[in-house]
Amino acid sequence: MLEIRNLTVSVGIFSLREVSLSLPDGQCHIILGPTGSGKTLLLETIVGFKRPDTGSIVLDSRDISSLPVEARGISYVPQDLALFPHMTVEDNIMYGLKILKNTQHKELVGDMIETLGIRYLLNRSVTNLSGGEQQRVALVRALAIGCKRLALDEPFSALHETMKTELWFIILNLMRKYNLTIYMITHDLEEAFFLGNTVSILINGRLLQTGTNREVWYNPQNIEIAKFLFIRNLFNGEVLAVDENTATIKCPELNTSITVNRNKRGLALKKGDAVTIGIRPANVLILEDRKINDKYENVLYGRVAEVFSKGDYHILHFVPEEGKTIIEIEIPDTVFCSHCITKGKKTIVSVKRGHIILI
Amino acid sequence: MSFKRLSILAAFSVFFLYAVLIASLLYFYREGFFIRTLLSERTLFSVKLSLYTATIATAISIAVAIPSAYALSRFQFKGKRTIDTILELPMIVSPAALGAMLLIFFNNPIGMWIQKTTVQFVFAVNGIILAQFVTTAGIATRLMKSVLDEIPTRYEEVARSLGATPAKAFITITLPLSRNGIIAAAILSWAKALGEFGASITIAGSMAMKTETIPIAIFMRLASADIEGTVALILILAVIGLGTLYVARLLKGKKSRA
Repeated sequence: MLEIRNLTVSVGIFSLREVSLSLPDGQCHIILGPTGSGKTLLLETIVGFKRPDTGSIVLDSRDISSLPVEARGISYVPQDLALFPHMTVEDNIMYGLKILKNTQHKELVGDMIETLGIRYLLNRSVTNLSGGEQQRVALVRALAIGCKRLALDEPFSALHETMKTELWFIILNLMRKYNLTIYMITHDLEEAFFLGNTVSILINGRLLQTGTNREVWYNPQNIEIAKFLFIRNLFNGEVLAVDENTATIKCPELNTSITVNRNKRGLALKKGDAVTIGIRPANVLILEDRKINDKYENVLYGRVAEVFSKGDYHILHFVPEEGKTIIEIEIPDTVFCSHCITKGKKTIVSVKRGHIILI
Repeated sequence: MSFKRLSILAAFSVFFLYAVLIASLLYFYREGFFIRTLLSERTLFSVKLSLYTATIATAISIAVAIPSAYALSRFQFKGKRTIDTILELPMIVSPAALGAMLLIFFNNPIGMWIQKTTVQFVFAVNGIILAQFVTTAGIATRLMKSVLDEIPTRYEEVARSLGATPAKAFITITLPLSRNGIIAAAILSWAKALGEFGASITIAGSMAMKTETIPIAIFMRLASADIEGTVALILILAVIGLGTLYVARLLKGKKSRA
């Protein structure tokens, strides 16, 4: 277990403030935040490149805050991978073992080389490798010394989507096969929620929320996090009624009332409270006239004001009747074509109450 | 005229400036006299002394420059800016002033004590080595610093996360990566030391067959109005210096293409 206790680290005028986290072993922990939020600084402090101003880092009940990098037992893969350019692939991989004069892990290294399929690269110079090959070599190099903890600093940010997805599966495979604990930073939502068992949101040097993958995705604690988690539709409202499982929210911007499930945030709600509701663009359904019945929740009538194409997806700006705002909707091309959607078309949409987030 | 042509013209104009200076020496060139001067015991002594002192001074300069440059490149510490500024001293103060400073130092109690307890510097070969070292150490450190600045610290950080101590990371990663830079710094320092005159003559004097490096020999021949001898020695100095630099660049180019 890695515990970060009230950690404050400053670099120039920027500082991470009072970060506390408990990261159990055997999981992939994602630190997610926009550029300049302090993710790299936090990871570098965990690995040991930066010393904390206050607070401590405790690994398996041992304070490692003042230990040098080489004594912490956390392998590191930086964003640019930093493969040693004067060495071959094999020399890069064996570097740690040679430094530590370790001959026990050669079998493990051989196994990793096979798992990642890089045996054919061993005699090549690292300067002649593709992006994906470099990633694999960097991963094997980091794990070759038998280290169970891996710190990854946005290692896939420069890769093409296909290669990125392939490496996500590789990371999960390595994690399960070698019982690894991964501390990874990223600004990519898809990557974070695909790989992370836990996700911590870091914005502007402050840790705003931490929890399991689902907890964070479905229950962002404030509007700042909700916006960062791509909840593009945020509407203010007032609680009209609450029952055991649901709450009815009056939304003047949408000119209607919306029914929502009472999540953690909703437990304390009472009539008259001011709330914000959030809807992800992909969670808005397009309905056909003839199919409308009671099973559809939160049905809104209106028209499509704008259409934007995004490859296999389309972004629609939907304006509810008498509404004062737009709802952003993301639909796949198949739905777009089957509903013959065009700019200005009258449309009916619905949002399941389970897909509406109370903030 | 295009910008490219203009810049190439500028490069050639610098070349022609030096080429004309070298070519003008040939006006006083006498083949028989040149060979006699080249093979004379006094000239051979000067050549040997120059090569010996320049090589020793360069070796010491590089040995001091690498760790100093590493500290200046990688760490923040009190006095860093002052050290960084003082590296330019040999370029700001004239070589003669630098030699005079050394001479003054060895005439104060600490300097005299050093000479008494270690080796003689004033009017001795050691003085030439010291003068060349003082002239080249700052330049070598500055060159090494710019080489190390170009090598990302990430390599060392990764090496340390793989178990290397800071010293081991430096030796196994940074040093091999800066090999070409070290060679370039050594060549330039050596060339600077070979042609060093002002500081050397001030501290070591101009004693024939004792402290007579090639630049000092040139000065001595010129002072006695021996123009042909001066020309012969200048040509020897230019051939040794430029020849070494050219061959070193050739080898470096071949190595980086390999």
